[in-house]
Amino acid sequence: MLRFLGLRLGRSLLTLVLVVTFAFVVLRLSGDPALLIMSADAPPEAVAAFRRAWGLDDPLWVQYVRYFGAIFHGDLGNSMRDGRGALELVGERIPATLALTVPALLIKLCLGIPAGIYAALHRNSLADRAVMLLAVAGFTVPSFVLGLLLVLLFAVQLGWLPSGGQESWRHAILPVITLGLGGAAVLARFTRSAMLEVLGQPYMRTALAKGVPWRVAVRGHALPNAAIPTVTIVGFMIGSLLAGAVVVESVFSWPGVGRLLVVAVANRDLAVVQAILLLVAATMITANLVVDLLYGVLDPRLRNGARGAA
Amino acid sequence: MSDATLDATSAPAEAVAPPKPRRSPLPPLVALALLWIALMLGVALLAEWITPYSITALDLRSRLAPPVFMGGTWAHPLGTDELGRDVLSRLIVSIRISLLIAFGAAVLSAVIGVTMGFLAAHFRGLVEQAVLALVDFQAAMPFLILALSVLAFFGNSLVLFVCLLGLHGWERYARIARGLAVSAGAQGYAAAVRQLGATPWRIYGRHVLPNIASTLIVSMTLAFPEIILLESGLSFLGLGVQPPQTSLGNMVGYGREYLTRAPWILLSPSAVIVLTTLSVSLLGDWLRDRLDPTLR
Amino acid sequence: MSTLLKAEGLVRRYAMRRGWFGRPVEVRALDGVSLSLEHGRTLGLVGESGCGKSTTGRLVLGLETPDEGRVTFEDQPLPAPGTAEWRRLRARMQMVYQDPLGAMDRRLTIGAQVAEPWAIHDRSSSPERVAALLRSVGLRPDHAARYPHELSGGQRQRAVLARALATDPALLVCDEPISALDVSIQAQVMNLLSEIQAERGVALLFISHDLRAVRQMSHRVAVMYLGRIVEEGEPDAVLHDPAHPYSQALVSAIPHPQRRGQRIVLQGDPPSPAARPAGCAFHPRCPVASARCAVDTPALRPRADGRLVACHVAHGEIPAGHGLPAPTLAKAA
Ligand SMILES: Nc1ncnc2c1ncn2[C@@H]1O[C@H](COP(=O)(O)OP(=O)(O)OP(=O)(O)O)[C@@H](O)[C@H]1O
Ligand SMILES: [Mg+2]
Repeated sequence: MLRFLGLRLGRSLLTLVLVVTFAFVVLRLSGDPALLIMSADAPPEAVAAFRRAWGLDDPLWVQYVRYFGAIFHGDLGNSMRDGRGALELVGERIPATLALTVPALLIKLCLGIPAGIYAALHRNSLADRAVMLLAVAGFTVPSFVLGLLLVLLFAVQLGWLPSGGQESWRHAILPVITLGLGGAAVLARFTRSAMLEVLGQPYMRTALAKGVPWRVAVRGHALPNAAIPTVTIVGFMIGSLLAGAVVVESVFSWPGVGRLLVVAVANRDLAVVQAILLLVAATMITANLVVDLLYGVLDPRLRNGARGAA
Repeated sequence: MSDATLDATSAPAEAVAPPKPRRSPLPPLVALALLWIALMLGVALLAEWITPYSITALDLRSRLAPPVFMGGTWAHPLGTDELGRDVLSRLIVSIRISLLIAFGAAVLSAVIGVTMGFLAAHFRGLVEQAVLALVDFQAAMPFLILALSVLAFFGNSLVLFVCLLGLHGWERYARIARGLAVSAGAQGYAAAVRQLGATPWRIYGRHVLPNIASTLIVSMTLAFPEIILLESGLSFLGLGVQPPQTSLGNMVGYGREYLTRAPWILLSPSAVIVLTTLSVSLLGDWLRDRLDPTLR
Repeated sequence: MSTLLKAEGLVRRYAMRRGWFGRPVEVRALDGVSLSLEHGRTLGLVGESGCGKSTTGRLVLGLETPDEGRVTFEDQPLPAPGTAEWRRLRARMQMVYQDPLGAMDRRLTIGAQVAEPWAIHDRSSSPERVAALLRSVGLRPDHAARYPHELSGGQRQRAVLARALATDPALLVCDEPISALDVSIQAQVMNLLSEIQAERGVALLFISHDLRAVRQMSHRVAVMYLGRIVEEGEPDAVLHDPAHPYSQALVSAIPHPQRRGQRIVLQGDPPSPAARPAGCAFHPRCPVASARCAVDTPALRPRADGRLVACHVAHGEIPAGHGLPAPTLAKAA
């Protein structure tokens, strides 16, 4: 078990290092940040001063090491636009994003998983088909389309709800529904296939053949085993709590991390983009680690490190 | 529809097929899907000849004209936008660009993924570990965020955009290709052919690749809608295809400004996005059930 | 008759991970195997599952390199796997598999697969040559257009054999070529192998756990136990009058009308190469072992009658004992 833990931790750290390297490489490949940020006709002395201030004159590996060091100390640089700390800027937006993504996650879980289980247990019934069609539709309707349709209906036509902004909890209703419905569809589809696979397993047939009642077999064997793959996707959803609302926040002008990211990308405010990238990566990797550990608890076979071979 | 759907999540979501492949004639829904896909392909191929107007032609006298079914005229069947540009013409060109981008990206990611998977399976050891680390990295990061960072750093061009989207989902092909190649090499036909003295090129090109092609095609079909969604999402945010070029997501993003006054501007491209992704998804599900019930 | 293949002191270790928090355990799949094979002759290799027969086959073909020891083929050491020279050598040595369906590409016709060695080794191929090759293994020329799943098990094995023979190799390693076949077809395939050997003078390493098949096919037989050869000699001699207690147990397990009731039932657990007993590896299960067998590893040496045996008792060095209590250590792993 210790070995398993160590391996997983090592892998997570490696992924984090990869993300940092990715950010660094992309940052350096993208051209001279000095020229990017200063206007083209800036005086050469100013550009040189800027370069010195940001350490752009040093050899690449020095910059790389320093980059790691800075990140290690939680220094993600300042916004190149208004000079405030990138981390601080991002931190301010996190509560707003969580106010959308956490309720949306609850919707996904409460709607998606039961629907998937129900559909699997009543396979090929009318309900199953309806759930699956809805699920496929939910997956194929992009969030911006669904969001705009909801706005069109509830804000423009009916006038029940506001179409954007963040003044009261009523402003959160449409974005939360938009996020929740899509995720619920994905989860329902996933849970259904996981359940179906488990139901087709020999041990289920054996259990039933031995006279174990259907309900008991489902509760005792099918649900726990189907939970294993489902945990993965839920883990991913938890990991994307921070950044899972980029598009929806933009649709509803919700001042969260996602909106900040889109604006930063449009303005090429690299420090902010990079801070978000690293924060999201860290959340994601932590969530994945927890999922992996849960896997180990749920399924002893996987402790052997066999998951890489999937 | 959450943004999570736009990125790499659903690798296992498409996972499991029913245990027994159904051997039935074409279900009506799939037939409809095929019909729609054929229509879209036709539109994309013939775009140059069937657009009634140029996409930049302004008709200032009929700005924000409604479509026919909302009381408009046949001059602009799907209406016009704020500048008086014909929505139908823009839609046709957008379909072409969006499909072209999605197709290019899907092929690219399959090629990258399969190559990586074969490299891992062939060399094992360090190469394999490196590929797996990259796969982990890719699978662990929401792709939308990665894509946005790259766009922030590099700015935007059509080629870069296609390449970027081509990085979406490669890790799934890599996993599949590696898994199948390893199992074929362990004791199966690949080991036997190697034992005959064949070069790796021959083993992978002539034996392993054709044997896993159906699995790969099914995965491509399943990944295609995701790429369309990703493309349209990024374009919607104004970070994908740039004006004067137009794409489906682009049109929706533009039409959003006129949601109250001229909802038709965004309704028709939205419908096309939804119908196309839905059709390809249905087709992919059906193909998987038929061809490859084991696909994970 | 000159020596085609010579293996000396082959040792092959695999690292195997046991349990969830286990360190890699070393599995000694082969622990010093030496053998030699002349042109046009057959060496039979028998032993229970997991004793290292297939590993021996892979090593003498050069598909894997031994950790210790060496293999020479036509007086040359084997090149490293994967090199161009190694690939060229494949034309001279070939393998026949236990599972013919798994060894064929299910998407290509029999004809294409049988002709593939020619394409690989840059030799000319033609429909006539394919037809002739198929006929030589007892298939009809029209089988060339079929796919592997359209053939019966015996026909598939013939097709695999045809592919192996395409480049006219000097050595054929047959790893349990008949175990997956029906009894009636087993005899046909064995006859075919004998005919081909007589015609082409190919040498066979015939791996099986079926003693009667080995006896019918082989000029010499080697009995393996836990990664070592414990007895080697003429098939009739070894199978009529086995010298090693393990061979005796194997032979007695053959159903035989005249010898009802005399089966020697082996004691103790089946062996595991990960936990090799000290001394003679067989001693925990040996009915005649005594104290020395647990400490002193017997070497494979010729007896006065020319038989090669690795056993203190068989060599008359010590009197037959009464077996040793099974050590608990073997279970620990
Ligand atoms: N690639 C490998 N990795 C780890 N252990 C291996 C490997 N190949 C073989 N072994 C081990 O080496 C030992 C010998 O295996 P081998 O396949 O040679 O036995 P065998 O005599 O052919 O058995 P069988 O009659 O079942 O085919 C076994 O204990 C096996 O577990
Ligand atoms: Mg074997």
